[in-house]
Amino acid sequence: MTKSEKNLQAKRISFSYMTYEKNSGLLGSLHDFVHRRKRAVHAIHDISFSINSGEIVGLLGPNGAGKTTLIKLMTGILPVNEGKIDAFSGINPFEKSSAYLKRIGVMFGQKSQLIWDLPPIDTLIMLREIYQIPKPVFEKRLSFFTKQLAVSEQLQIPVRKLSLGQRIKFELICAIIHYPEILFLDEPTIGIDVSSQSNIYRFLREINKERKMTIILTSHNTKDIVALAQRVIIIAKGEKIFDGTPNALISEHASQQIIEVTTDSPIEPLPIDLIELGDCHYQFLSNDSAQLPIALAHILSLKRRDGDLDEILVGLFSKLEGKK
Amino acid sequence: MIRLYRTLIKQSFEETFAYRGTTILTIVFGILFYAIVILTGSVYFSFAKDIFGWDFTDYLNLVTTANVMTYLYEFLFVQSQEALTSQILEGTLDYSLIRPVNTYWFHVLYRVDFPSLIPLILTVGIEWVIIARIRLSFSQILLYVLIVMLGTLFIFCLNQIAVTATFWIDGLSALAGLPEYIMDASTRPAKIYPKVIQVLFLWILPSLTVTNIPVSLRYRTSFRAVIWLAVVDACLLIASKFEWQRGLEQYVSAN
Amino acid sequence: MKYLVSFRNAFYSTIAYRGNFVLRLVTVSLQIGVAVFMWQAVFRFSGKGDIAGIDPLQMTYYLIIVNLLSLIFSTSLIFKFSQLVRSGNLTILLLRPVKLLVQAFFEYVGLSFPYLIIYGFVLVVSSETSSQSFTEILMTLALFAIIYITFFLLISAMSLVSFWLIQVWPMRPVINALFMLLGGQAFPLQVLPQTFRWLEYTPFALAGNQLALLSLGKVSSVQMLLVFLASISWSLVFLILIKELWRKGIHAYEGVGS
Repeated sequence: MTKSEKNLQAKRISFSYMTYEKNSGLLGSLHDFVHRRKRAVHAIHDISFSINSGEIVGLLGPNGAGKTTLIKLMTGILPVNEGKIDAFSGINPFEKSSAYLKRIGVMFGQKSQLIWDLPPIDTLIMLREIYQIPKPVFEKRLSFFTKQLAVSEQLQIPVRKLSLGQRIKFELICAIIHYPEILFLDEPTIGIDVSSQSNIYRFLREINKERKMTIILTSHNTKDIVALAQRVIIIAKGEKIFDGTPNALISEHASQQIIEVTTDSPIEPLPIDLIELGDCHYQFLSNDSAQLPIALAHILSLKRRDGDLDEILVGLFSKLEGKK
Repeated sequence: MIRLYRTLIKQSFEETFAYRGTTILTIVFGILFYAIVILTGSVYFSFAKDIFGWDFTDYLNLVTTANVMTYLYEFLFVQSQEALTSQILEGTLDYSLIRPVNTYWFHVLYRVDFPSLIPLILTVGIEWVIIARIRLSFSQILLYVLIVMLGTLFIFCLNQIAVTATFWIDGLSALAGLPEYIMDASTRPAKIYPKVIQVLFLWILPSLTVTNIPVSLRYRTSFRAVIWLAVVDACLLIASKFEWQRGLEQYVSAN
Repeated sequence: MKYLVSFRNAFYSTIAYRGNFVLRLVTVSLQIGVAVFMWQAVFRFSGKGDIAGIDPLQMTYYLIIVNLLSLIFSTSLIFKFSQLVRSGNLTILLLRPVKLLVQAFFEYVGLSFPYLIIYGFVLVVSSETSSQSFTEILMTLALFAIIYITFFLLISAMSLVSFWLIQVWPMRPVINALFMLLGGQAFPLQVLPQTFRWLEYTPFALAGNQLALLSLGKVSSVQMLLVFLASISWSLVFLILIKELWRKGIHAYEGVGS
């Protein structure tokens, strides 16, 4: 497998879904079953990209931007309405062929696939049978994974007695036990402590390097992205607004330096470019406007600094909110 | 798939021991329930030796057969359906959508309920004695076994359809209990009901056929009813699979 | 009053799930139908005009009332409590400044309130067959209230087994079965031979069988007194049981997921 081989290609894909206005009661529900009032929501609009084998790509965007929908399109849970997703040169994910499903792994950070009352080993054995992994191979992988993630001791403890961090680690092992070629991670580090996070980052970087496993992740936590992603795709309101390396993102948008302002009284109404940090404490991107959006007489102090990824994103997203 | 099913059975077995208290309760109460039904019948027959041509042995045959089917259904499917209901309600089916296996059968065969095995064996034993007593021929016994299997499939389908309805109607917990009530109402001689009800539950939703035909084998053999039952089972199974597909689409779009 | 809120919420939740409410009435009608048809057949083939002093029409009323009572004496608290223990949400409730038992009682009343209304309605209709005096009606209501509390305490005590049992759903058919047999849902306990008549004073029988017979005017004043005494004694037993089970159970409670 060469580095440039394409794993996944999305060509001008769009996805809109219908929401149903629900009727209440039994009769209403029966009515819904036969005939439903529909309303279209455009979740993804005309997005194209291609992801090469071995890449780690971070999907970023504000809440409701369409990140999870995009993951669901790529994993084949949802069908595209327009355009085409092409996986491994020729597979349409939505056909849900077992050939495709065996080559991908998915972890939804907010949903669990571990069997609650049994130890994690039981879920893993079930997955071994589902993915038809030969026993010795399975054993070897499992001992490697659990050692790397420091959860060997917890393999035989019922899931309900594990800590959240340990559970997330096992969820991750479940997602990769069949060594997928593409690994999808949806909010993988939600709610876990810093040391578990860095442990997971290290592990993911290692298997990415050794197995050339493509990793596509969404996260609210920009630390995930900074630690892992070699490339970021930013989506907002269903559209792609950036595609490049994290450094490119920073240099492109951090040229907009951040100005922090302290004023003597609260500013009302709040101009669109201005973000409130605390009482009488605001910030804005330096090239957002040629002028200060605040009357000079109210300014107590001014400070200029470079933004980090978090702030760049906050700035970018709030600018988008303002536009729409 | 067979190896996967073996793993799932093994896990069910482990869970049986994880829930020891529940296991013992299921066994004790399962037997108790059967005893209560028999007792109720003995009260009826203490006032009339013969009801619509049926004597107490026939009644015993009726409730035992119905219980064999119910326990067989519980053994094979009830835990899976319980698990499925909670997974639909909690919205945790996403992983099922990306597994390279048939999701319908995966969820249907997800668990077996070992505790139900004990009352199942008990009722099968009692039925054995009843059959020996009423002297069924070998071919009648074969037919009896076939009807029990078709009946179990019938009970499974009714429940599966009710459980899958959870995709659309989440507040309707009472719906899941409806098949149980229907089967309970069918554990009576069909003739006690008015003609309309008889026709409805002998032919359209043949729950009375399921319970009454094995008993009537003692007097006559109705192949027509057995074939009809098989046809209805096939239709219900197809309907339940169709409902499952629609349900998954609903699940995906509702997220 | 904080407990009235529990009553109101429970009442609304019974009403809000209209589908559930209607279905429950449908299933109970189904059960009534089954029992009525069965008994009609028994009457017909026994050749008797009455069984244990109950004629076919009274039997029909009896079966309607006793099945309605099975709705009023709901067991859903057991499953709600199990959910609380299993999810660990009990911890949150423990931190609130309320008496859980009192709160549960108001919830219990709220859950059964719509059925109580229907029950009242049926009583008025069926009273034509019983011709009770005003004092008898008052006595009936008073006994109903006491038995209602007794049954609530029974259910509360049963729900505490959730501290030790992970799954309580196998209990559901059993409680139904107990109500069917001891509660007199399948047949009035009066039809049993004399040696089993003591069963009439078990809690399920008080809630189902006795209350149904009471509304048909089939209980003598001596029996009323016995029912009253039985109900009070059972309440005491359950109160003590609740106290003990709660004390031991809270130790066993792991606080899973909290």
